[in-house]
Amino acid sequence: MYEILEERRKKMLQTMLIGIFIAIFIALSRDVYDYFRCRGSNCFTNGFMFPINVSVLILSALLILLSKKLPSWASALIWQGFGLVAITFTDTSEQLIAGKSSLAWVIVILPAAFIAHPSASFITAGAVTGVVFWLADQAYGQIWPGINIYFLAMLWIIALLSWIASRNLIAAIRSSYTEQERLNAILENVADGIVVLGRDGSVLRANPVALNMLDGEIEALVRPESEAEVKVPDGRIISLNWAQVPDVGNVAVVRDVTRQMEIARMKDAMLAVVSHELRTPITGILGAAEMMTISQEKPIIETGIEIILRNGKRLLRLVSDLLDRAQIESGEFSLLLKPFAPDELRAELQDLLEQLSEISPLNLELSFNADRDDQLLGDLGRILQIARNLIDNAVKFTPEGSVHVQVEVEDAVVMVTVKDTGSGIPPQQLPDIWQPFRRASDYDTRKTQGVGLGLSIVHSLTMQMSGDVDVQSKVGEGTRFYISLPLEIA
Amino acid sequence: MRSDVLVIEDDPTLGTLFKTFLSFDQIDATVCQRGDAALKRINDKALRPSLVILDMHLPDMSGEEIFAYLQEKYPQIEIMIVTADSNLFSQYSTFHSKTFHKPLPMEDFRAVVQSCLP
Repeated sequence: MYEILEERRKKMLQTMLIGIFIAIFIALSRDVYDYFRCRGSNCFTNGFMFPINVSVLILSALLILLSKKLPSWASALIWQGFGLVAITFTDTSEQLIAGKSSLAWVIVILPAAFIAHPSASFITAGAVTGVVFWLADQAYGQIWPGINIYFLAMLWIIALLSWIASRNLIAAIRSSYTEQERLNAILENVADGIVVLGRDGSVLRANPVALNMLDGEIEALVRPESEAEVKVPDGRIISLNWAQVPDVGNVAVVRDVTRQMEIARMKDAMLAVVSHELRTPITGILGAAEMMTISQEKPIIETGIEIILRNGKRLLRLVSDLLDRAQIESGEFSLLLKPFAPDELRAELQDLLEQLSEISPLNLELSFNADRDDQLLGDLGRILQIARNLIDNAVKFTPEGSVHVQVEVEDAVVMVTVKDTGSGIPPQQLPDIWQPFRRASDYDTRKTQGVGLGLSIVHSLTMQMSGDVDVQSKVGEGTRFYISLPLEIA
Repeated sequence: MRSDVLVIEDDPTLGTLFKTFLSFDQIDATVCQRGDAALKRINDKALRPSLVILDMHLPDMSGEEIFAYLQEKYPQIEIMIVTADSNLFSQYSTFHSKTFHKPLPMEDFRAVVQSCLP
């Protein structure tokens, strides 16, 4: 704020000094002209003003230069002091007392008010009044009635008007500055990036968010002809929302939409995967029904029922997975804790592997080991779901070889290891395998069924049970999933 | 029974379904669950199909690869695409008229197969 006012004051001082310099220069030229015109004759000359005009000219020129370095109050003070002294000694005491140099005094008072401080006009008026009183006292031995009361009244009225004008000016500067500061603060702290382009396309302004978002590429990326979405070198996608601002140019609101774009892309891909996974079993079910209406021969009916059952189960699994995922994501998911014997878990897993071995050519093995037969407190259905998803996943990605399921129960901790001799997971994909719908991203190239929810459900369920997950994999050799679930003794 | 129809379909139930429907029309179709096995049998002349019924998502190679390969090497073989993939369906149906979206009515399936066979 101070800097802004000071800058204004300096400008005003310089403008005034330049005006005075020009006026005095004209007066001086006239003096010089008169001097040569009247040499030898007795025409009227203003010759006695010559030294004063020369000194004012020199001082104003000097002050114009000095005011750039000096604070404005110091320049104003020099001007005031010089003005007072110059006027006092230019006119005769009688002239001064009678108020003949009133215009010259005004020249001293006004800049005082504008340049130094509003109250400075009163101080200067006071000083002038003092000088006049002193001169009157010197000349007549008394102040009254020699002085010109109208002149003094005018002096003080000008001081008052200068004071009011100066205060208003400062208030106006201050309020415009505050407004500007407020707008700046908004621009600097707003959550979106803002870039202002001039009419020639040059970047006039960019707030910190925009600078950060566009990573030093503002000139190259933010052009009026740019697309609505631009890509920064690190791969992020930035949206530009343009508005034309009269007298300014174009303003772009800049947003990082990388995440939204990714979500939109994933959503499309997910929809495509889910649609594919729904359409395939529905084709089987409808086709089988149609087949049985054409022929009621026993082998046809048997095949039809088999197709309907298998595809119905596949649909059910998909729907359950989608519902489980939705429930997990909505946070409304809870475990159903009930006592169960380790042997129940073993029997269920045995059943599961037997069912799978009917449709899979793989060698499926189960080894089960519990340290004691105590009942455990846990959600058996969900534990089986974890194991089933892991086993399904292993079978899906193992074209030939074996899947080995190992379950250990130790100190009420259930540890499930599923080891396959399948295709393995490339190291760069390992961190993402627990993400839901991760397979949507490689949907077009994927080789197997499923929407990619199984492992994400395994992860969420295990976390819900305060358990631990681990995966080790080697491409071409196989994968080993390990899950530990801490339960309680019932 | 004629036997010049090859079904490339990884889902065993759909393979069975297609085979059964074709049998109603006196066609003994061969079903392959993998793309590489199907192409090998064609290349070895173990199969000389007039029509290939092609699923687009397969465990070993994509239906797109098989389609491109067959079109180039065996342009005389008719290809009927049957896919559950909406994107691939929209993409292929623009230039290949015998592209179908699962689930498709089996009556239509039979009619198209008949129209494709010499």
